[in-house]
Amino acid sequence: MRTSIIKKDVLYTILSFILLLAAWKIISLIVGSAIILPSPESTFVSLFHLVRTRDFFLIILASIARGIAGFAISFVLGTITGFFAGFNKVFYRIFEPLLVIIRSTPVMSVILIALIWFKAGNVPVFASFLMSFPIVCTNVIEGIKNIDPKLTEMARVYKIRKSGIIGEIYLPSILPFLMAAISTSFGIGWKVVIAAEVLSQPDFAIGTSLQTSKIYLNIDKVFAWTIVAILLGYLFEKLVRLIEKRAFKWKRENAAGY
Amino acid sequence: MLLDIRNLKKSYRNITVFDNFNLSIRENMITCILGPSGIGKTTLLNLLSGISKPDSGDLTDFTNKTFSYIFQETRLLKWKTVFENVNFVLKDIYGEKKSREIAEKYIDIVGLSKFAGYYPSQISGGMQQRVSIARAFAYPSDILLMDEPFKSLDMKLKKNLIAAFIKLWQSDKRTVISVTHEAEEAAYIGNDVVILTDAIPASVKDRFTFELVQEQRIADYQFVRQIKRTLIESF
Repeated sequence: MRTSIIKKDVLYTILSFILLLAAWKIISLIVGSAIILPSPESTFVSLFHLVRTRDFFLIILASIARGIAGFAISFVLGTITGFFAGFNKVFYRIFEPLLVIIRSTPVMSVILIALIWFKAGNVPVFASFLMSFPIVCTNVIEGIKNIDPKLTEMARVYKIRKSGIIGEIYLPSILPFLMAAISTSFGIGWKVVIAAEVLSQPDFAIGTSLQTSKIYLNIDKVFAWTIVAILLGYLFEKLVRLIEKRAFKWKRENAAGY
Repeated sequence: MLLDIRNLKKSYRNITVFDNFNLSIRENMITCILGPSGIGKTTLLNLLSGISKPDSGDLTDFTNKTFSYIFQETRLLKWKTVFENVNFVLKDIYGEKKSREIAEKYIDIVGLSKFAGYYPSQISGGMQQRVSIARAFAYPSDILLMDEPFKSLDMKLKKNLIAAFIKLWQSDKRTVISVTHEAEEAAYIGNDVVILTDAIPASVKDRFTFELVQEQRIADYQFVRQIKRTLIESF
């Protein structure tokens, strides 16, 4: 029963890709210009060449490293400040407007300001950190609000140690929110990293490669690099989902009945 | 031995729930406190257990006691299995091996051995309540507090659960204070039944002592009917 559902899902996904490729092909034929819209086959040929170049892995590793660095900083700082804001009302009141400001700042403003402040390679890290930080922070605050005081009360009656209350009631209550934060901020962070790379032009970067390809009117290469970025983004998301599944066994079991 | 509540006073904003409230509880007996909803029964249990603090009054007989508490809601940790939920309150007290043994023993008594590895979301509400009862009995407390533990269960399940409760209590006669608005529940399990007034601030309106063994009551419903009638007349 389950396997047939999975098989069907895969079938639909394949169908969706075939339709997309067909549409792409037809439109590229109608447009008739490789500079405006390269055909799927020329894009994949150039993707194939791309993967075989010497610098390819260096480029994607450099971009991934920036994504991870930005994410890691926002995760650590966001969790810490989120904890303070979640447990302390005064801190929350003072801190909240700052979050609103960061959230409302256009990505491009952040990138342009970072260009003035930082070295090329660090601009994407800073930009993705600043974009992810409010997401992590807000989610941790929400998670703390989600802690059921009735469970804490129960634990106090049964004289559970403070460490037990934190580790076995607080943390599991916050964890789903933290995982949601990871998944969202990773997705957004990745796109911001590439956007920032386009403008800051570090030596090795997907964004730099995109921009160079565009300047030389290698539009099939622009498409090929875009596909690389999409695939990597998708891979991250899958990875996060996998961790999520492991972490929330009790949730997955819950859904087993459906 | 008696545990005394003396001159208890508690109010929330301008509502006085208890004012000069006095009650003596017999140790190692089951005391049922019977009263209508909203009379402050839960508040009383929270005051005894230290969850909330009284405005004034003497609760010294309770201050150095340990408590188990069967709440109105099950208050299970949904990310822990049945076994882990019971073990959660034991492992700080006993070593890992002993707490496992005790948890397994009590899960078995409430008839959930087969479900020890299940998460709360995977079992029914009645089963969850049984886990919370097992947790309360497994924990080595001086006093067991119960807040309408058998409510919102169907008749058959309720009787099974009451029978399981009595079995547990017979093996380890600790002081039980149970609050409820159902005369029948009190008739089944109470050694002492305390009836509260209808309006706040509450006081004790009437008090009964039944020396009938609970197991007999389960076996012969006539006893329960008699007790229930007596209670309802006064209630």
